[in-house]
Amino acid sequence: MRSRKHQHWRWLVILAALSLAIAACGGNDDPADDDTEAPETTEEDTDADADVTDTEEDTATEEDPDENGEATDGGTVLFGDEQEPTILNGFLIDGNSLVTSKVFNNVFAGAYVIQPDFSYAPWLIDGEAEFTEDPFAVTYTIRDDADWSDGTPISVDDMIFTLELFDEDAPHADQVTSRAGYELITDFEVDGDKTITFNFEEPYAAWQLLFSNVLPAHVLEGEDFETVLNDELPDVSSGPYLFESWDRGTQLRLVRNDDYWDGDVGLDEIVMRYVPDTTTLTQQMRGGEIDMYDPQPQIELIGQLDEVSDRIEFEVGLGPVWEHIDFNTLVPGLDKDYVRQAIALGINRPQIVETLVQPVDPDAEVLQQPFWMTNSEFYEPTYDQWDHDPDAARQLLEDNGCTEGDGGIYECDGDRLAFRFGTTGGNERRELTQQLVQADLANVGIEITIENDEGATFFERLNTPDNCDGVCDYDLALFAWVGSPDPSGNANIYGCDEDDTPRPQNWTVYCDDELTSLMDEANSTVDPDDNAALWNEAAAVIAEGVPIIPLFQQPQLLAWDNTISGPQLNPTNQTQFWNSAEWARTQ
Amino acid sequence: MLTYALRRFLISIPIIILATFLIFGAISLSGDPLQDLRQQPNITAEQIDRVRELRGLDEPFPVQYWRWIQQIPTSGFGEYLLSPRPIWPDLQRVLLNTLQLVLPAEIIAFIIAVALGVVSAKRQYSVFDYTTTTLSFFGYSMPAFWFALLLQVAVVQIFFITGVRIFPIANLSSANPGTGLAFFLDRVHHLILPIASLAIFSVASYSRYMRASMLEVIHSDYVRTARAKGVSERRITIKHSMRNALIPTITVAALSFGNVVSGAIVIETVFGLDGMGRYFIAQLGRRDPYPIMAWLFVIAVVIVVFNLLADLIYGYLDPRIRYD
Repeated sequence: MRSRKHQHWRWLVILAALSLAIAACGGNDDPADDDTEAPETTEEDTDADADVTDTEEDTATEEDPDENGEATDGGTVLFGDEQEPTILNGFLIDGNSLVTSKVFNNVFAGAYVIQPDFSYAPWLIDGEAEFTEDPFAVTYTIRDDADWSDGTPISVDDMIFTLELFDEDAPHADQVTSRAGYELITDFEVDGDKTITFNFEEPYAAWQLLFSNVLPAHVLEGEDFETVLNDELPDVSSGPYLFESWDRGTQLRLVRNDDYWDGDVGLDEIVMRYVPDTTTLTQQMRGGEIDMYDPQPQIELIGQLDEVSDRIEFEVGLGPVWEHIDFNTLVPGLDKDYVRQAIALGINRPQIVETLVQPVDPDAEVLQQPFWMTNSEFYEPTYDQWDHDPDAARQLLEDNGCTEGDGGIYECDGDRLAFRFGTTGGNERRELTQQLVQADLANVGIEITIENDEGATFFERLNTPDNCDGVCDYDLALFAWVGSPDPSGNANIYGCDEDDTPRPQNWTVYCDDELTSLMDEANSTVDPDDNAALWNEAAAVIAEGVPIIPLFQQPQLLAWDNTISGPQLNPTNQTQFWNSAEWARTQ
Repeated sequence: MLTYALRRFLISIPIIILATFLIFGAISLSGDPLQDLRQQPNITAEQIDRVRELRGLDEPFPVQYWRWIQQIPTSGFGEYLLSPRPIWPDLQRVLLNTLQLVLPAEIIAFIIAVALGVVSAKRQYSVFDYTTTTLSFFGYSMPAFWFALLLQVAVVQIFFITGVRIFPIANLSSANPGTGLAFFLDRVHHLILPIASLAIFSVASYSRYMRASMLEVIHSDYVRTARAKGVSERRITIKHSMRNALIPTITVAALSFGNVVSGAIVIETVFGLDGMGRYFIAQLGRRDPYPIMAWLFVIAVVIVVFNLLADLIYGYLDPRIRYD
C-alpha cells in the first residue's frame, strides 16, 4: 500500500534526480577550470567592503571612482560579446569575422597593427618595411627579440609558411577567405633568419595588410589547416596572450603570454563571455558581471551606462561601417546623372546625422566620400557639393526638362520620378533614415515608396544575378559597407571591366571609365601619398556621377569597468583588443 | 502496452521522415545559403561556386535531401556548410544544456501547479482560489522575455543597493566554475532565474488544468460515496481525488514538454544560455541548412517521443485504458 501511495511522487523524484544528474554531467570539460592558479583580482583588489556572493566576484567592482591608482600586475577581464566565433581560424571563410579576429590577433602577431586613426604601426617587424616600386618588392625584417612563447625565434620560416597557406594549390585553398596580395608574390629572397624580401608581379598598394597574422611554422607544419584551428589554437603565441580553452556557447579563455617579447602584459587572463543579447550584456555590465563590452551603441544604452558612470567608463567613436544609399542606375529615371544629383541635393544628410547618430556620438558628421573614412588623415569631403538644397534640386530637374506631373511628382523624359526604397527590415535606424529621406524627397517632387525585406532577401534582391535578368530588383537601397584603412576593395564595388561589365559587387551597375581607371591605378600605386591622392581623385569623380550617396559612419562603443586602465576604442577591424597588452587593473 | 508502444514508434518513423522532407524543401526554397558570402568583398565568385559544388548545393533538391538522410546514421547529421566540423557534438551539447533548464523547470512547475490546483479546487471561490486564479492568468499572459528582464533588472538593482549579487543574470556557469560539487552548485546558481522564468508559464497553465480536473473529481459520485462511508478527508483528497485528477494534467505536461524544449528560445537568448533555442537562432542567422535540419529532426523526435510517453502514462495511470 505504501509503495503505491507514493508511486507518482517517486517518479517525480526520479525525474528530478535525473535532471540534476544531467546538470552534473553536463559538464565542464575545460581543464582550465581545474586551474588553481586562477587569478585573484578579486574584490580585495577592487573593493574590500563589497559583499559579493557570486562566484564571479573577481569582476565585481565598486571602486571609488576617484581612486585611479597605478596599474597592478595581473587580474582578469571578462569581455562580454554578442557574437561567438564559429571557428578560430581567421584565414578561412568560416572564421572571417571580427569576433574571430579578437582571438586571433591576441595570439598571432602580424607585421603591422592598424591604429585607431586607420594608420599602420609596425608590430612584428623592426621599423617600417622597406619597399621598391619598380619592380615592386617588400622587405620585412622581423624584430630580433621576437620569439614564440615556447622560445622559438619568430623567423622568416614563419612568414614563408604563412605565405604558403595562401597557395592556390594548397588542399584548403577553397576555404581561404582571400588571397588578395599574396597571389601577386612571385618569389622571395631570404637574408638570414629575420629578413625576407617578397617580390610581386605587380605593385600592390594594400601591402601593409599582408601578414596581419604570422603563424608558427614549427607547430602547424604538416597539420590539416582546414581543421587544425577550428576548435582550438596551438599552445604557442607571438601575441600578448595564449589560447587556453574554449567552451563553445559559453566562454573563451586567453591567458598571459609570460614570454611576450613586446613589453609586459598587464592582465593574467581575458575571458570572453558569449551572451547573444545586448540588453542582457548591458545589465551584466551594470551589475559588474562583465568588465568590458563593445555593443552597437543605442541612445537607451548610453543612458543606462551613464547611470553607473561612477563605475563604468565608455568611449564612443565613428567606426568603419558606413551607411549609404545605392542607386540602381539601370532603372528608368535613375539612369540619368541629374536625377541622382537632384536626389543628393534633396536629402538633408546633416539632419539624418543629427537625428540618428549625434544623440549617440555628438561628434558624428556626414560622411562626404566613400573611400576614406572621416577618421583617416587622407579624408577629403568630395560630396560636400551636394549639401542639402531643395531649391537647387528642383532647379536642376527643371533645367533638364523635367516637368511636374500628378501629385507634384516630376517626370523626366517620360519617366515619373517615383522609386522604391529598400533596406533590411527591422533595423530601426535604417527605417528612420528611410522616413527622413522620403519626406525630404517629397519636398523636391520625387516620390519614394518604402519597400523593405528581411536582411537575406534584401541582399538577394540587390545582388543575385539570377533574380536580376540584367537589372537587379531594387531602385534605391540603404545598407552599409565596412571601410578599411586601405580602400582597394572599392575597385570591385564601383568598377567595371571591359565592355562596361560591372565587377562582381558593383550592384549599382554604374560604369565610369575614368573612375575605374583611377581606382585601378590607385591599387597599383604603393606610395601612400600618391595612393591617397588617386583615391581622392576617384572620390571626386564618383561624387559627380553619384551612383551612391554616403550618409554616415555607424558609431562604435567600448565600455569598461573603471578599475581597468588601457582600453581605447579602435574602430578598425583590428578590433578593441588592438592594445590588449596594455590593459591592466588599477588599485 | 508494449505492442502499442512499438506500433506507435514505427508509425512515427514515416511521420518524422515526411516532416524532414517538407522542412528540407522549405529551407531549400528560402534562398541561397551562400548569400552572405556574396556580401564579403574579399570572397570571389569562383570561391563561392567552389563551395557550392563541394557541398552539393548545385544538385537537385531530392539528391541533396537523400545525401542528408544518409549522413544521419553515418556521420551524425554531417558537417556545417562552411567548415568541415561535425554538427552532432554541438547539437548534443545544446540539447543537454536545454534539458538542464527544461527538466527542473517543468518538474518544479508541475509540483507547484498540482499543489495550487488541489488547494484551489478544495477551497473553491475562496480568497486563495481567486488569488491563484488571478495570478495564473497573469502568469499565463505575461511574455516570458518580459518577466526574465524584470528578474534581471531586479537582481541588478539589489546589487546596486546592497552590493550583493544574489544571482548571475546570464550564462550557464561562472568564468571559473570549479569542478565536481562546486561546478554543480555554480550551474544551479546560474539556472535559478531562467528556471523561474520558464516555470511561471507552466505553473499558470498546469494549475488551471489541475483545478478544473480536481473540481470534476471531487464532485463525482464515488468521492461522495467515499465520504459517506466515513473515509477521512485527507485520504479522499490524496488517494481518491488527486490521483484521478492528475491524469489529464500529467498528459498535458508530457505533451507540452517537447514544445518547451524547442520553445525555450526566448529564455535562452535573454539569459545567454547555450541551449537548443539559441543554437537554432544562430544557425538561422548563418543560413546553414544542415544544422537547422538536424535541430528540427531532434525536436521532431523529442515531440514524438513525449507524445508517445503521454499516451503510455495515461494508460498507466488509468487502468481502464487498454491499448490493443
